[in-house]
Parts: sequence; C-alpha cells; structure tokens
Amino acid sequence: MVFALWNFAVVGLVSIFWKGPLWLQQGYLTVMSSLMAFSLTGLEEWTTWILLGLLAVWDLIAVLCPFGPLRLLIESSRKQQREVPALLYSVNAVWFMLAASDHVRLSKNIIPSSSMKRTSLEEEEKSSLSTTPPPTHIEQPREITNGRKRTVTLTSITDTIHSLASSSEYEASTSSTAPLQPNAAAPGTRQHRYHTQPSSSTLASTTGGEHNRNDLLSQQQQIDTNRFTRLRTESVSSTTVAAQSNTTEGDASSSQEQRRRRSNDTQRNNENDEEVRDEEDVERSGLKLGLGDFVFYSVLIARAALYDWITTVCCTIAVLTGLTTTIFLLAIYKKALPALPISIAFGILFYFVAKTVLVPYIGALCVFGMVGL
Amino acid sequence: MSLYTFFGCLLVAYGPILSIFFLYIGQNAQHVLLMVSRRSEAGLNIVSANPHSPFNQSIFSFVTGYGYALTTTLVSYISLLVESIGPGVIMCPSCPQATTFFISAVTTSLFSLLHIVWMMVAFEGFSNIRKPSGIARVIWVIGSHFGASYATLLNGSETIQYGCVYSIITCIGILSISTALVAYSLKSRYQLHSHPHSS
Repeated sequence: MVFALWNFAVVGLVSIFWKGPLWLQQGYLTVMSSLMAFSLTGLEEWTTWILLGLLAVWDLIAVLCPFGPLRLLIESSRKQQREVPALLYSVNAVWFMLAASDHVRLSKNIIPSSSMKRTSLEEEEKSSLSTTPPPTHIEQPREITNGRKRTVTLTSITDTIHSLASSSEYEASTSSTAPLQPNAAAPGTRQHRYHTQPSSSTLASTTGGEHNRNDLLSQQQQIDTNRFTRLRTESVSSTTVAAQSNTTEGDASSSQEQRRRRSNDTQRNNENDEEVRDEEDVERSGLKLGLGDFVFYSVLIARAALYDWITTVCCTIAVLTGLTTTIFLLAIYKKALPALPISIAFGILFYFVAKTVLVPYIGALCVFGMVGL
Repeated sequence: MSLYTFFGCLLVAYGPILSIFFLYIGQNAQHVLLMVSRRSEAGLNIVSANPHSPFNQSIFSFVTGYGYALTTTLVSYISLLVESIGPGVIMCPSCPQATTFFISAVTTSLFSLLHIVWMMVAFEGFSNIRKPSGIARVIWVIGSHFGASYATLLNGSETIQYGCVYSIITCIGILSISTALVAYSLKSRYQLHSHPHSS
C-alpha cells in the first residue's frame, strides 16, 4: 500500500512538473482536483454552501471591481512590464499542451482545408515539450513550456515578436503564467502570476489537510492558488472557439477537464505571412479556465451528490449551463471574467430547488411506475 | 442478480440517449454546447459552419430536444435505477410478471425519443405560429405529451390487466406519429431548399 502510494506520488510529480505524456498529466490533475474536492466534502453542509457563495462573491469582486486585487495585479504587471514571480509553470505547461491538442481538433472543425495548418500544429505540439533556457535575471524552474516559447519554432521570428507583443498584453489567466523569453527580444517580457488572496484559498487548502501526501498537497495548494478564473478572448475567431470549446464535459462529479486555450489579440501590424497569422490565430484563440474553478465546481457537485442522485444531475447540468453562459458572455464582452459566480449561483439555486421540489415529486411518481413526465 | 438488473435497465433506459450522443452529438462541439444550454440558438447561428442552411433549425431543435431528453430521463429514472442495485424488486402492478424497473426502463427510453421528437415538432410549430399548421403542431405536442404521461399511469394501475403493454403501445404510437410529422416537415423543407438549385 505504501509502495503503491509512493509510486503514485512520484509519477505524479514527474508528470506534472517535468516531462511526461499529456494524458498522464491531465489524469493526475484530474485525480488531484477530485481528491481535493472530495476532502472538502468533509465540511458541514451549510458551511460548504456558504463558503461557495462567498467565494462566488469574492471572485466577482476580485475580478471585476477596479480595486479588486487581481485586476490591480494585471494592471500593474501590464504597466510596469515586470515579470511577476510565478510558481506555477508546470500547470502552465499542462495547459499549454492541452491547448495544443485541443487546437488540433479545433482547427479541424473550423478550418476545412487545413492540412498544412494541422501539420504545423503538430510540429508545434512536439516543440512545446522542448524547454528553452530561462531568462537569466529571473530565478525560475527549469523547464517551462509556454506558448511564447512555442512560437520560436514558427516560421518567422517577426511573427514571434509581434505575437508575443500582442498576446502578452492579454495574458491574464490564473493558471497560466507564461514567462516570456527575453531572447526573442519581445518588447514586453511580462509574466503574469496571480497570487491568490490568502483567506479563501488557504482555508480551502487547510481544510483539505488530511492528506497524507503532503508534498502533493503543497502542489495542490499551489495549483489551488489559481482559483480565480480568467476567461479572455479578444478576437472574433475566438467566438467560434468559444462555441466549440465545450467538448468534454463528461463526468461532472470529478469534472476537472482542464481546458485552457490562449486567446490572442489580432493586433498584428507587421505580419508577413497571412497563413501563419491564421494559424497563430487559431492556435492561440481560446479561453482559459483556472483549475481552481473546477475544484469548486466539483465541491458543489460532491455536496449535491451527498444528498440524492437527482440533485447531482440537476447541479451538474446547472454548473455546465453556467459555464457555457460564461463562455458566451466572454465572447460578448471580451475581457477577463470570473467563471465562478454564474455557475455557482445556478448550482446553489438548482440544488435547493431540486431538494425541495424534485426529489419528493419523483419519489412519489416512481412508485407508481409513472416514469414519464 | 441485482447487478444484472441494474446494468440491463441502465442500458435499456439510456440506450437511445447514449447512442445518439456518441454518434451525432459528440462529433460536433457546438452541439454539445447547445445541448447543455438550450437557449443559445442565436449565438450559435453566428458561429455555425453553415449559417444559412435551412436545416440549422432542425439540427438545433434536435440537439436541444436531445438535451432536454437527457435531463428528464436522468432525473426521472435514476432513483429507480439506483434502487435496483438493492436486494429487492418491485413488481409492476399491472403486469405482475415484470419488475417495475424494467418497465420503467422501457418507458424511459421511449420517452427520451419522444422528447427529442416533441422538441422538433414544437420548434417548427412555434416558428410558424401564425399559420394554422404551426398552431396545430403546438397543440399536438401539448396534447400528446399529456397523453403519453397519462399512458404511463396504466403502468401502475392494478385494475387494467396488461396495462403496461397498453402504455408502451400508446407511447410508440405517439412516437411514430410525431416522427412522421417531423419527417414530413423536413422533407418539405429540403424540397424548398433544393428547388432553387435544381434547374
């Protein structure tokens, strides 16, 4: 038992923080988020609901209000062009490779004749695993694969520079802290990293402290510090991406399909190659969703599952609907939006409605065999 | 024994749903999105691959109906399904040789198809609400919905022998009529669409 656990932990560490197959990384993040959510169900019922409600309100404030800490962080890092020290590159790498595989699918969907684009995407996917030397003046973990580095393998360096310049402004995702490579001579080598606000997330982390695997827990704390969601999209092409992004929302009780796609700005002044620009547009268009959001969705659904199956189903659908609504709002407003509030509001609402109305109703009907409603 | 019942009823009840999902809806992410949030037709029309195809409405209504079917079947049948893992069985009062689980599973699968078809008919009905055919469609949907639901009452009645058979036949009948309505309207739409193209 100890042996198995140890191996599990080591492989998880390796696959998340170092090289590893993409599916393994995804699997590990999923399992970790599920365990995190599961351990949070140890809270009392009303504590959980109130916590979720307050988190939703906090997310709303922190992202949208002008004095919200996350917005201030974005603004300051954008203005000063200073790299924010980050601890979460590995998550970024995961996100990025997820984005690559998703983009392959994406390009197949929305670009009919894209054999060339597909091959270039594949080559970029391969190159995304390569590591490039970090900037000298910043201490960072060794291997960081981010979208910017990936662009080095593209055809033209000018495209790289301009895409770096344009996309770095909008690089505001919770889980994606993308250190830019100064060798590319990008005007803005920025790096965004959002430290979570200590109160809520550390509460979440400490309540999950029954884990024996403390090392993984600390990683999970780091990952959970990305609680705030950023959904950004800037271009019209990303609306198509947004519409098609919701591909895999399968099992919602452990629903941590981490999808993150980078959205790109279409301010490219000196693009040389039209086709390359379209590819980059496709590749980088998309939305980013923080891992912590999925953890809280799972907490909500786990708490609903503790009551009855019907509430589970209702809350699953509510959360998914909230997520798609947020994606649409993102396509409309085109700026950073919190992903938590709408889904959690729907989820809480549906939970209580289902609990009071649906469960007794179905219970009374099914006894008669009247399954059709 | 009870586990067999569980899986059997699970697959019977959710067979159409799962198969339609994997065959048709899973292949297009837009459809998955629409399935979950059913009121996003306008937005999806903007981004769909073929915005001016007249079949868009049919596809949307199909997927929307599918989403609704998924929701209702999950909500209505899942409690019974979970009960079937337990050690006991409940016999259907009107067909004493069959368990309630199984009859309800069959009813659920029929209802999932019915919901899809009802949604398609309702879409056409509401989009042609001024014309008599639109109003007729809407009335058909509402009426047959009530009819199908009352038919399932036969499942549980003890006075009518073989009531469950009657309810299944009624549901299949309503399903076939509604499918014919949908096919008729699809065909006429197809003819309208392809007529300008034909010489």
